[in-house]
Amino acid sequence: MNTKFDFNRTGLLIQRYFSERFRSELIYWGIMAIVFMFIRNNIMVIGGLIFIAALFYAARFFREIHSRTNGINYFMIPATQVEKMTVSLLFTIIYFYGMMILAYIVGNLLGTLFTNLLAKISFFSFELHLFHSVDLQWTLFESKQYTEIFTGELKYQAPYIVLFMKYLLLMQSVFTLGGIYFKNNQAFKTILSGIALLFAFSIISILELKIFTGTTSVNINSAESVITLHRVFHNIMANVFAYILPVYLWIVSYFRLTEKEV
Amino acid sequence: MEIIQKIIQLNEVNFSYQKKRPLLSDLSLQLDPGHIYGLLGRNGEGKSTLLKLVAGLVFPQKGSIDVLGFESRKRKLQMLQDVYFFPEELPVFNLSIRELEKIYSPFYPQFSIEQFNHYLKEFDIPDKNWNLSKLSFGQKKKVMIAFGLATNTKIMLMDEPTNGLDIPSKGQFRRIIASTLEADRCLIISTHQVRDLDSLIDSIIIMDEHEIVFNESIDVITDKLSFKVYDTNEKDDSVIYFEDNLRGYYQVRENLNHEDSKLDIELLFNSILANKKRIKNIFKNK
Repeated sequence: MNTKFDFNRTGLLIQRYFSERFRSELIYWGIMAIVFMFIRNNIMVIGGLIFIAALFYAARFFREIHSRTNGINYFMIPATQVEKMTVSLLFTIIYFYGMMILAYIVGNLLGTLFTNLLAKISFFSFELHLFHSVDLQWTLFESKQYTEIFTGELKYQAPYIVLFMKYLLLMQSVFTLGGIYFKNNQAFKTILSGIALLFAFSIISILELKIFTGTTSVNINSAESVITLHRVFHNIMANVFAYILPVYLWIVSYFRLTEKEV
Repeated sequence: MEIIQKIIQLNEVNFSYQKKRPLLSDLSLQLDPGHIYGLLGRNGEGKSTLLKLVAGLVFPQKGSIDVLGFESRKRKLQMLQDVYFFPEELPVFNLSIRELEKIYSPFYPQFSIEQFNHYLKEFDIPDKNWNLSKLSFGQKKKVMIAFGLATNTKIMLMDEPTNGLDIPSKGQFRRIIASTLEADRCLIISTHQVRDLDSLIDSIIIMDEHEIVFNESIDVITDKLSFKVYDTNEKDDSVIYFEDNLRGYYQVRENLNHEDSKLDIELLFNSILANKKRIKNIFKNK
Protein backbone atom coordinates (compact mmCIF):
# COMPACT_ATOMS: atom_id res chain seq x y z
CA MET A 1 0.00 0.00 0.00
CA ASN A 2 1.32 3.38 -0.98
CA THR A 3 1.02 5.64 2.03
CA LYS A 4 2.06 8.85 0.25
CA PHE A 5 0.10 8.99 -3.00
CA ASP A 6 -2.20 6.47 -4.56
CA PHE A 7 -4.04 6.97 -7.85
CA ASN A 8 -6.93 4.73 -6.78
CA ARG A 9 -7.61 6.78 -3.67
CA THR A 10 -7.26 10.00 -5.66
CA GLY A 11 -9.75 8.63 -8.18
CA LEU A 12 -12.13 7.77 -5.37
CA LEU A 13 -11.89 11.31 -4.01
CA ILE A 14 -12.74 12.65 -7.47
CA GLN A 15 -15.64 10.22 -7.74
CA ARG A 16 -16.83 11.30 -4.28
CA TYR A 17 -16.86 14.93 -5.35
CA PHE A 18 -18.87 14.26 -8.51
CA SER A 19 -21.33 11.95 -6.80
CA GLU A 20 -22.08 14.38 -4.00
CA ARG A 21 -22.22 17.55 -6.06
CA PHE A 22 -23.37 16.40 -9.46
CA ARG A 23 -26.55 18.47 -9.42
CA SER A 24 -24.91 21.68 -8.18
CA GLU A 25 -22.14 21.27 -10.78
CA LEU A 26 -24.72 20.93 -13.51
CA ILE A 27 -26.53 24.07 -12.35
CA TYR A 28 -23.27 26.03 -11.95
CA TRP A 29 -22.01 25.27 -15.46
CA GLY A 30 -25.47 25.67 -16.96
CA ILE A 31 -25.63 29.20 -15.55
CA MET A 32 -22.12 29.90 -16.86
CA ALA A 33 -23.12 28.80 -20.38
CA ILE A 34 -26.18 31.07 -20.24
CA VAL A 35 -24.08 34.03 -19.08
CA PHE A 36 -21.61 33.38 -21.91
CA MET A 37 -24.50 33.57 -24.40
CA PHE A 38 -24.78 37.26 -23.59
CA ILE A 39 -21.16 38.27 -23.08
CA ARG A 40 -19.47 35.99 -25.61
CA ASN A 41 -17.77 38.70 -27.65
CA ASN A 42 -16.55 41.03 -24.91
CA ILE A 43 -13.15 39.78 -23.84
CA MET A 44 -12.86 42.12 -20.84
CA VAL A 45 -16.16 40.89 -19.42
CA ILE A 46 -15.26 37.28 -20.22
CA GLY A 47 -11.97 37.69 -18.35
CA GLY A 48 -13.71 39.31 -15.38
CA LEU A 49 -16.31 36.55 -15.28
CA ILE A 50 -13.67 33.81 -15.38
CA PHE A 51 -11.78 35.29 -12.44
CA ILE A 52 -14.86 35.97 -10.34
CA ALA A 53 -16.23 32.50 -11.09
CA ALA A 54 -12.85 30.98 -10.18
CA LEU A 55 -12.92 32.80 -6.86
CA PHE A 56 -16.38 31.56 -5.96
CA TYR A 57 -15.62 28.06 -7.21
CA ALA A 58 -12.53 27.76 -5.01
CA ALA A 59 -14.37 29.23 -2.01
CA ARG A 60 -17.27 26.83 -2.58
CA PHE A 61 -14.90 23.89 -2.98
CA PHE A 62 -13.34 24.42 0.44
CA ARG A 63 -16.56 25.31 2.26
CA GLU A 64 -16.83 21.66 3.29
CA ILE A 65 -13.78 21.79 5.55
CA HIS A 66 -15.20 24.68 7.58
CA SER A 67 -18.48 22.93 8.31
CA ARG A 68 -18.40 21.06 11.61
CA THR A 69 -20.18 17.98 10.36
CA ASN A 70 -18.90 17.81 6.79
CA GLY A 71 -15.42 18.85 7.94
CA ILE A 72 -15.25 15.82 10.21
CA ASN A 73 -16.24 13.63 7.28
CA TYR A 74 -13.64 15.25 5.00
CA PHE A 75 -10.72 14.94 7.39
CA MET A 76 -11.62 11.43 8.49
CA ILE A 77 -11.62 10.04 4.94
CA PRO A 78 -8.67 7.66 4.80
CA ALA A 79 -6.65 9.43 2.13
CA THR A 80 -3.41 11.37 2.50
CA GLN A 81 -3.36 15.15 2.72
CA VAL A 82 -1.35 15.18 -0.53
CA GLU A 83 -4.15 13.28 -2.28
CA LYS A 84 -6.81 15.61 -0.89
CA MET A 85 -4.79 18.66 -1.91
CA THR A 86 -4.12 17.24 -5.38
CA VAL A 87 -7.83 16.68 -5.92
CA SER A 88 -8.62 20.22 -4.84
CA LEU A 89 -6.04 21.59 -7.31
CA LEU A 90 -7.32 19.34 -10.09
CA PHE A 91 -10.83 20.60 -9.56
CA THR A 92 -10.13 24.27 -9.03
CA ILE A 93 -7.63 24.56 -11.91
CA ILE A 94 -7.84 21.93 -14.62
CA TYR A 95 -11.46 20.90 -14.24
CA PHE A 96 -12.59 24.48 -13.60
CA TYR A 97 -10.81 25.91 -16.62
CA GLY A 98 -11.81 23.01 -18.85
CA MET A 99 -15.45 23.37 -17.89
CA MET A 100 -15.22 27.14 -18.27
CA ILE A 101 -13.98 26.73 -21.86
CA LEU A 102 -16.73 24.19 -22.52
CA ALA A 103 -19.35 26.56 -21.08
CA TYR A 104 -17.92 29.33 -23.28
CA ILE A 105 -18.13 27.14 -26.40
CA VAL A 106 -21.69 26.08 -25.61
CA GLY A 107 -22.72 29.64 -24.66
CA ASN A 108 -21.07 31.10 -27.75
CA LEU A 109 -22.72 28.61 -30.12
CA LEU A 110 -26.15 28.95 -28.50
CA GLY A 111 -25.85 32.74 -28.22
CA THR A 112 -24.95 33.10 -31.91
CA LEU A 113 -27.61 30.61 -32.95
CA PHE A 114 -30.37 32.35 -31.00
CA THR A 115 -29.30 35.81 -32.16
CA ASN A 116 -29.42 34.68 -35.80
CA LEU A 117 -32.77 32.97 -35.29
CA LEU A 118 -34.19 36.11 -33.67
CA ALA A 119 -32.75 38.24 -36.49
CA LYS A 120 -35.03 36.42 -38.90
CA ILE A 121 -38.12 37.27 -36.88
CA SER A 122 -39.95 40.51 -37.59
CA PHE A 123 -41.35 42.21 -34.55
CA PHE A 124 -44.70 43.96 -34.78
CA SER A 125 -46.22 44.91 -38.11
CA PHE A 126 -43.49 47.44 -38.83
CA GLU A 127 -41.00 44.77 -39.88
CA LEU A 128 -38.87 45.98 -37.02
CA HIS A 129 -35.75 43.86 -36.64
CA LEU A 130 -34.49 44.03 -33.07
CA PHE A 131 -31.70 41.55 -33.74
CA HIS A 132 -29.15 41.44 -36.52
CA SER A 133 -27.42 38.43 -37.97
CA VAL A 134 -23.91 37.94 -36.56
CA ASP A 135 -20.96 35.77 -37.51
CA LEU A 136 -19.68 33.20 -35.09
CA GLN A 137 -16.62 34.62 -33.30
CA TRP A 138 -14.23 32.86 -30.95
CA THR A 139 -13.01 35.84 -28.94
CA LEU A 140 -11.54 33.74 -26.16
CA PHE A 141 -9.29 31.88 -28.60
CA GLU A 142 -8.09 34.99 -30.42
CA SER A 143 -4.79 36.82 -29.92
CA LYS A 144 -4.38 40.53 -29.47
CA GLN A 145 -2.04 42.39 -31.81
CA TYR A 146 0.31 44.95 -30.28
CA THR A 147 3.24 47.12 -31.28
CA GLU A 148 6.58 46.48 -29.60
CA ILE A 149 7.41 49.77 -27.91
CA PHE A 150 11.14 49.84 -28.73
CA THR A 151 11.33 48.14 -32.14
CA GLY A 152 7.96 49.22 -33.51
CA GLU A 153 7.33 45.63 -34.65
CA LEU A 154 3.78 44.27 -34.85
CA LYS A 155 3.45 41.27 -32.57
CA TYR A 156 0.77 38.92 -31.35
CA GLN A 157 0.15 38.16 -27.72
CA ALA A 158 -0.55 34.60 -26.68
CA PRO A 159 -4.26 33.79 -27.18
CA TYR A 160 -6.50 35.09 -24.40
CA ILE A 161 -7.26 31.54 -23.34
CA VAL A 162 -3.55 31.03 -22.54
CA LEU A 163 -3.11 34.47 -20.97
CA PHE A 164 -6.11 33.96 -18.70
CA MET A 165 -4.81 30.56 -17.65
CA LYS A 166 -1.51 32.13 -16.62
CA TYR A 167 -3.22 34.69 -14.42
CA LEU A 168 -5.80 32.21 -13.26
CA LEU A 169 -3.03 30.07 -11.74
CA LEU A 170 -1.99 32.99 -9.58
CA MET A 171 -5.53 33.95 -8.68
CA GLN A 172 -6.52 30.34 -8.01
CA SER A 173 -3.60 29.84 -5.63
CA VAL A 174 -4.68 32.94 -3.71
CA PHE A 175 -8.28 31.72 -3.66
CA THR A 176 -7.21 28.26 -2.53
CA LEU A 177 -5.33 29.69 0.41
CA GLY A 178 -8.23 32.03 1.18
CA GLY A 179 -10.71 29.17 0.91
CA ILE A 180 -8.74 27.07 3.37
CA TYR A 181 -7.70 29.90 5.67
CA PHE A 182 -10.93 31.83 6.16
CA LYS A 183 -13.76 30.16 8.01
CA ASN A 184 -16.67 32.32 6.77
CA ASN A 185 -17.26 34.50 3.70
CA GLN A 186 -14.13 33.09 2.11
CA ALA A 187 -14.68 34.79 -1.26
CA PHE A 188 -15.23 38.25 0.23
CA LYS A 189 -12.34 38.02 2.66
CA THR A 190 -10.02 36.72 -0.06
CA ILE A 191 -10.92 39.69 -2.29
CA LEU A 192 -10.21 42.09 0.58
CA SER A 193 -6.89 40.41 1.28
CA GLY A 194 -6.14 40.46 -2.46
CA ILE A 195 -6.74 44.20 -2.58
CA ALA A 196 -4.42 44.67 0.40
CA LEU A 197 -1.84 42.50 -1.35
CA LEU A 198 -2.18 44.47 -4.60
CA PHE A 199 -1.68 47.67 -2.63
CA ALA A 200 1.52 46.22 -1.18
CA PHE A 201 2.71 45.17 -4.65
CA SER A 202 2.01 48.67 -5.96
CA ILE A 203 4.22 50.12 -3.26
CA ILE A 204 6.93 47.57 -4.20
CA SER A 205 6.60 48.63 -7.86
CA ILE A 206 6.97 52.30 -6.93
CA LEU A 207 10.02 51.48 -4.82
CA GLU A 208 11.38 49.42 -7.71
CA LEU A 209 10.95 52.39 -10.05
CA LYS A 210 12.58 54.67 -7.53
CA ILE A 211 15.60 52.35 -7.26
CA PHE A 212 16.13 51.93 -11.02
CA THR A 213 15.09 55.30 -12.35
CA GLY A 214 15.52 57.55 -9.33
CA THR A 215 11.96 58.77 -9.76
CA THR A 216 8.48 57.49 -9.11
CA SER A 217 7.20 58.40 -12.59
CA VAL A 218 8.22 56.70 -15.85
CA ASN A 219 9.79 58.88 -18.50
CA ILE A 220 9.82 57.02 -21.79
CA ASN A 221 12.52 59.30 -23.17
CA SER A 222 14.98 58.64 -20.34
CA ALA A 223 18.09 56.56 -20.89
CA GLU A 224 17.14 53.34 -22.68
CA SER A 225 19.63 51.23 -20.74
CA VAL A 226 17.95 52.13 -17.45
CA ILE A 227 14.53 51.32 -18.84
CA THR A 228 15.80 48.04 -20.33
CA LEU A 229 17.32 47.11 -16.97
CA HIS A 230 14.06 47.98 -15.32
CA ARG A 231 12.12 45.93 -17.89
CA VAL A 232 14.34 42.90 -17.32
CA PHE A 233 13.79 43.16 -13.58
CA HIS A 234 10.09 43.67 -14.15
CA ASN A 235 9.89 40.58 -16.38
CA ILE A 236 11.66 38.52 -13.76
CA MET A 237 9.23 39.76 -11.10
CA ALA A 238 6.24 39.09 -13.38
CA ASN A 239 7.39 35.52 -13.98
CA VAL A 240 8.05 35.01 -10.28
CA PHE A 241 4.50 36.10 -9.53
CA ALA A 242 3.01 34.12 -12.40
CA TYR A 243 4.74 30.79 -11.82
CA ILE A 244 6.58 30.67 -8.50
CA LEU A 245 4.10 32.43 -6.27
CA PRO A 246 1.25 29.99 -7.10
CA VAL A 247 3.45 27.02 -6.19
CA TYR A 248 4.48 28.75 -2.97
CA LEU A 249 0.85 29.50 -2.09
CA TRP A 250 -0.20 25.90 -2.83
CA ILE A 251 2.51 24.67 -0.46
CA VAL A 252 1.30 27.11 2.20
CA SER A 253 -2.29 25.94 1.56
CA TYR A 254 -1.20 22.33 1.93
CA PHE A 255 0.36 22.97 5.33
CA ARG A 256 -2.63 25.03 6.37
CA LEU A 257 -4.88 22.11 5.41
CA THR A 258 -2.81 19.66 7.45
CA GLU A 259 -3.09 21.96 10.46
CA LYS A 260 -6.77 22.64 10.06
CA GLU A 261 -8.90 21.72 13.06
CA VAL A 262 -12.62 21.02 13.00
CA MET B 1 -3.01 -11.31 14.56
CA GLU B 2 -0.93 -8.63 16.22
CA ILE B 3 -2.76 -6.91 19.05
CA ILE B 4 -1.46 -3.53 20.12
CA GLN B 5 -1.49 -3.29 23.90
CA LYS B 6 -2.26 0.41 24.30
CA ILE B 7 -4.45 1.30 21.36
CA ILE B 8 -4.96 4.90 22.51
CA GLN B 9 -2.68 6.81 24.81
CA LEU B 10 -3.10 10.39 25.97
CA ASN B 11 -0.30 11.91 27.99
CA GLU B 12 -0.87 15.07 30.04
CA VAL B 13 -3.09 16.59 27.40
CA ASN B 14 -4.17 20.20 27.75
CA PHE B 15 -6.82 21.62 25.51
CA SER B 16 -8.97 24.74 25.39
CA TYR B 17 -11.11 26.49 22.80
CA GLN B 18 -10.63 29.81 24.60
CA LYS B 19 -7.35 30.77 26.20
CA LYS B 20 -8.77 31.56 29.61
CA ARG B 21 -11.12 28.57 29.83
CA PRO B 22 -9.23 25.28 29.83
CA LEU B 23 -11.40 22.36 28.81
CA LEU B 24 -8.98 19.54 29.51
CA SER B 25 -6.10 19.85 31.93
CA ASP B 26 -3.22 17.40 32.16
CA LEU B 27 -5.45 14.59 31.01
CA SER B 28 -3.84 11.18 30.79
CA LEU B 29 -5.65 8.09 29.61
CA GLN B 30 -4.79 4.67 28.25
CA LEU B 31 -7.27 2.52 26.41
CA ASP B 32 -6.84 -1.11 25.49
CA PRO B 33 -8.24 -3.13 22.61
CA GLY B 34 -11.03 -5.61 23.22
CA HIS B 35 -13.16 -3.21 25.26
CA ILE B 36 -16.27 -1.09 24.87
CA TYR B 37 -15.75 2.06 26.88
CA GLY B 38 -18.62 4.26 27.99
CA LEU B 39 -17.55 7.89 28.21
CA LEU B 40 -19.76 9.83 30.59
CA GLY B 41 -19.81 13.37 31.89
CA ARG B 42 -21.94 16.42 32.29
CA ASN B 43 -22.57 18.82 29.41
CA GLY B 44 -19.49 20.81 28.45
CA GLU B 45 -17.03 18.53 30.24
CA GLY B 46 -15.19 17.83 27.00
CA LYS B 47 -16.38 14.35 26.03
CA SER B 48 -16.87 15.19 22.36
CA THR B 49 -13.61 17.13 22.38
CA LEU B 50 -11.82 14.12 23.82
CA LEU B 51 -13.13 12.00 20.94
CA LYS B 52 -12.07 14.66 18.45
CA LEU B 53 -8.61 14.79 19.99
CA VAL B 54 -8.26 11.04 19.56
CA ALA B 55 -9.45 11.30 15.95
CA GLY B 56 -6.96 14.10 15.23
CA LEU B 57 -9.70 16.59 14.41
CA VAL B 58 -8.49 19.02 17.07
CA PHE B 59 -4.97 19.26 18.44
CA PRO B 60 -3.80 19.43 22.04
CA GLN B 61 -2.07 22.62 23.14
CA LYS B 62 0.16 20.52 25.38
CA GLY B 63 0.83 16.82 25.78
CA SER B 64 0.70 14.03 23.25
CA ILE B 65 -1.90 11.68 21.81
CA ASP B 66 -0.83 8.38 20.38
CA VAL B 67 -3.36 6.38 18.39
CA LEU B 68 -2.31 2.97 17.04
CA GLY B 69 1.29 4.16 17.20
CA PHE B 70 0.64 7.40 15.32
CA GLU B 71 0.48 10.96 16.55
CA SER B 72 -3.23 11.69 16.08
CA ARG B 73 -2.81 15.31 14.90
CA LYS B 74 -0.87 14.14 11.84
CA ARG B 75 -3.94 12.25 10.54
CA LYS B 76 -1.75 9.64 8.88
CA LEU B 77 -3.39 7.42 6.31
CA GLN B 78 -2.70 4.24 8.30
CA MET B 79 -4.39 5.76 11.33
CA LEU B 80 -7.41 7.03 9.39
CA GLN B 81 -7.90 3.59 7.85
CA ASP B 82 -8.31 2.19 11.35
CA VAL B 83 -10.33 4.90 13.06
CA TYR B 84 -14.00 5.55 12.43
CA PHE B 85 -15.54 8.63 13.99
CA PHE B 86 -19.28 8.72 14.35
CA PRO B 87 -20.26 12.32 15.15
CA GLU B 88 -23.38 13.41 16.98
CA GLU B 89 -24.47 15.51 14.01
CA LEU B 90 -24.25 13.61 10.77
CA PRO B 91 -22.75 15.04 7.59
CA VAL B 92 -25.05 15.92 4.73
CA PHE B 93 -24.78 13.24 2.06
CA ASN B 94 -26.71 13.61 -1.14
CA LEU B 95 -26.12 9.96 -1.97
CA SER B 96 -28.03 6.73 -1.97
CA ILE B 97 -26.93 4.04 0.49
CA ARG B 98 -25.54 2.07 -2.47
CA GLU B 99 -23.49 5.09 -3.61
CA LEU B 100 -22.24 5.61 -0.05
CA GLU B 101 -21.02 2.02 -0.03
CA LYS B 102 -19.51 2.31 -3.52
CA ILE B 103 -17.64 5.56 -2.87
CA TYR B 104 -16.60 5.35 0.76
CA SER B 105 -16.05 1.65 1.38
CA PRO B 106 -12.89 1.30 -0.79
CA PHE B 107 -11.14 3.75 1.53
CA TYR B 108 -11.36 1.16 4.32
CA PRO B 109 -9.28 -1.95 3.58
CA GLN B 110 -11.22 -4.12 6.06
CA PHE B 111 -14.67 -3.05 4.91
CA SER B 112 -17.14 -5.94 4.64
CA ILE B 113 -20.12 -5.57 2.33
CA GLU B 114 -21.69 -8.70 3.83
CA GLN B 115 -21.53 -7.15 7.29
CA PHE B 116 -22.93 -3.86 5.99
CA ASN B 117 -25.87 -5.69 4.42
CA HIS B 118 -26.39 -7.66 7.59
CA TYR B 119 -26.38 -4.58 9.84
CA LEU B 120 -28.75 -2.75 7.49
CA LYS B 121 -31.11 -5.70 7.67
CA GLU B 122 -30.85 -5.75 11.47
CA PHE B 123 -31.71 -2.06 11.52
CA ASP B 124 -34.70 -2.58 9.22
CA ILE B 125 -33.24 -0.63 6.32
CA PRO B 126 -34.44 -2.72 3.40
CA ASP B 127 -33.51 -0.68 0.34
CA LYS B 128 -30.02 0.47 -0.57
CA ASN B 129 -31.45 2.81 -3.19
CA TRP B 130 -32.82 5.09 -0.50
CA ASN B 131 -31.25 8.51 -0.65
CA LEU B 132 -29.59 9.51 2.62
CA SER B 133 -30.77 13.10 2.35
CA LYS B 134 -34.37 11.88 2.25
CA LEU B 135 -34.13 9.66 5.32
CA SER B 136 -35.18 10.62 8.84
CA PHE B 137 -32.45 11.49 11.33
CA GLY B 138 -32.83 8.12 13.06
CA GLN B 139 -32.71 6.14 9.81
CA LYS B 140 -29.68 8.08 8.63
CA LYS B 141 -28.01 7.35 11.93
CA LYS B 142 -28.71 3.65 11.58
CA VAL B 143 -27.20 3.59 8.08
CA MET B 144 -24.09 5.39 9.28
CA ILE B 145 -23.73 3.12 12.32
CA ALA B 146 -24.05 0.10 10.02
CA PHE B 147 -21.44 1.57 7.68
CA GLY B 148 -19.08 2.46 10.53
CA LEU B 149 -19.23 -1.00 12.02
CA ALA B 150 -18.71 -2.61 8.62
CA THR B 151 -15.47 -0.67 8.15
CA ASN B 152 -13.97 -2.98 10.80
CA THR B 153 -11.65 -0.25 11.99
CA LYS B 154 -9.70 -1.01 15.15
CA ILE B 155 -11.05 2.11 16.82
CA MET B 156 -14.62 3.28 16.70
CA LEU B 157 -15.44 6.60 18.31
CA MET B 158 -19.15 7.22 18.78
CA ASP B 159 -20.59 10.49 19.99
CA GLU B 160 -24.16 10.12 21.26
CA PRO B 161 -24.95 7.28 18.85
CA THR B 162 -28.38 6.51 20.33
CA ASN B 163 -29.72 10.08 20.19
CA GLY B 164 -32.61 10.10 17.79
CA LEU B 165 -33.01 6.33 17.68
CA ASP B 166 -36.43 4.92 18.52
CA ILE B 167 -36.84 2.32 21.29
CA PRO B 168 -36.59 -0.82 19.09
CA SER B 169 -33.56 0.65 17.31
CA LYS B 170 -31.78 1.19 20.62
CA GLY B 171 -32.15 -2.51 21.33
CA GLN B 172 -30.91 -3.35 17.84
CA PHE B 173 -27.99 -0.98 18.38
CA ARG B 174 -26.98 -2.73 21.61
CA ARG B 175 -27.21 -6.17 19.99
CA ILE B 176 -25.19 -5.18 16.95
CA ILE B 177 -22.49 -3.36 18.90
CA ALA B 178 -22.09 -6.29 21.28
CA SER B 179 -21.67 -8.64 18.31
CA THR B 180 -18.91 -6.56 16.72
CA LEU B 181 -16.45 -6.49 19.60
CA GLU B 182 -13.26 -8.34 18.82
CA ALA B 183 -9.99 -8.74 20.66
CA ASP B 184 -8.24 -6.09 18.58
CA ARG B 185 -11.08 -3.59 18.48
CA CYS B 186 -11.84 -0.72 20.82
CA LEU B 187 -15.12 1.16 20.94
CA ILE B 188 -15.60 4.39 22.83
CA ILE B 189 -19.17 5.53 23.22
CA SER B 190 -19.87 8.97 24.59
CA THR B 191 -23.44 9.43 25.75
CA HIS B 192 -25.88 10.96 28.18
CA GLN B 193 -28.31 8.12 27.61
CA VAL B 194 -26.72 5.83 30.18
CA ARG B 195 -29.60 3.35 30.07
CA ASP B 196 -28.76 2.70 26.42
CA LEU B 197 -25.33 1.43 27.45
CA ASP B 198 -26.66 -1.03 30.02
CA SER B 199 -25.22 -4.48 29.47
CA LEU B 200 -23.20 -3.18 26.54
CA ILE B 201 -20.10 -1.46 27.85
CA ASP B 202 -17.44 -3.20 29.88
CA SER B 203 -15.57 -0.15 31.14
CA ILE B 204 -16.66 3.26 32.29
CA ILE B 205 -14.78 6.52 31.95
CA ILE B 206 -16.21 9.54 33.76
CA MET B 207 -15.11 13.10 33.15
CA ASP B 208 -15.65 15.84 35.67
CA GLU B 209 -14.12 19.28 36.04
CA HIS B 210 -12.01 18.84 32.91
CA GLU B 211 -10.34 15.62 33.94
CA ILE B 212 -10.88 11.89 34.00
CA VAL B 213 -12.08 11.13 37.49
CA PHE B 214 -12.96 7.51 36.96
CA ASN B 215 -11.81 4.78 34.56
CA GLU B 216 -12.67 1.26 35.64
CA SER B 217 -14.00 -1.96 34.22
CA ILE B 218 -17.50 -3.11 35.17
CA ASP B 219 -16.07 -6.16 36.94
CA VAL B 220 -13.92 -4.01 39.19
CA ILE B 221 -16.79 -1.61 39.81
CA THR B 222 -19.21 -4.32 40.92
CA ASP B 223 -16.47 -5.90 42.99
CA LYS B 224 -15.84 -2.66 44.88
CA LEU B 225 -19.35 -1.23 44.97
CA SER B 226 -22.83 -2.63 45.39
CA PHE B 227 -25.96 -1.16 43.85
CA LYS B 228 -29.19 -2.10 45.57
CA VAL B 229 -32.74 -0.97 46.21
CA TYR B 230 -33.89 -1.12 49.80
CA ASP B 231 -37.33 -0.86 51.33
CA THR B 232 -36.15 1.23 54.23
CA ASN B 233 -33.84 4.17 54.33
CA GLU B 234 -31.36 2.66 56.77
CA LYS B 235 -27.83 3.82 56.27
CA ASP B 236 -24.49 2.82 57.68
CA ASP B 237 -20.91 3.88 57.04
CA SER B 238 -20.67 1.80 53.86
CA VAL B 239 -23.26 3.93 52.06
CA ILE B 240 -21.58 6.24 49.58
CA TYR B 241 -24.64 7.60 47.85
CA PHE B 242 -28.40 7.22 48.03
CA GLU B 243 -31.48 8.29 46.16
CA ASP B 244 -35.11 7.66 46.97
CA ASN B 245 -37.88 7.33 44.47
CA LEU B 246 -41.21 5.52 44.07
CA ARG B 247 -39.56 2.11 43.76
CA GLY B 248 -37.59 2.41 47.00
CA TYR B 249 -34.29 3.59 48.36
CA TYR B 250 -31.40 3.25 45.95
CA GLN B 251 -28.03 2.95 47.60
CA VAL B 252 -24.48 2.67 46.43
CA ARG B 253 -22.38 1.02 49.08
CA GLU B 254 -18.82 0.01 49.45
CA ASN B 255 -18.98 -3.71 48.66
CA LEU B 256 -17.20 -4.92 51.76
CA ASN B 257 -18.87 -8.36 51.71
CA HIS B 258 -18.29 -8.89 47.94
CA GLU B 259 -21.98 -9.29 47.23
CA ASP B 260 -23.23 -9.61 43.67
CA SER B 261 -25.20 -6.68 42.32
CA LYS B 262 -26.12 -5.23 38.95
CA LEU B 263 -24.37 -2.03 38.02
CA ASP B 264 -26.61 1.02 37.75
CA ILE B 265 -24.61 3.41 35.60
CA GLU B 266 -26.73 6.43 36.44
CA LEU B 267 -26.36 5.79 40.16
CA LEU B 268 -22.63 5.26 39.77
CA PHE B 269 -22.31 8.51 37.84
CA ASN B 270 -24.23 10.48 40.45
CA SER B 271 -22.35 8.93 43.33
CA ILE B 272 -19.00 9.78 41.73
CA LEU B 273 -20.00 13.39 41.21
CA ALA B 274 -21.28 13.58 44.78
CA ASN B 275 -18.48 11.70 46.50
CA LYS B 276 -15.49 11.75 44.24
CA LYS B 277 -12.82 11.56 46.91
CA ARG B 278 -14.21 8.56 48.70
CA ILE B 279 -14.73 6.58 45.52
CA LYS B 280 -11.20 7.39 44.41
CA ASN B 281 -9.92 6.00 47.71
CA ILE B 282 -11.97 2.82 47.36
CA PHE B 283 -10.57 2.16 43.88
CA LYS B 284 -7.05 3.16 44.77
CA ASN B 285 -6.28 -0.30 46.12
CA LYS B 286 -7.75 -2.56 43.40
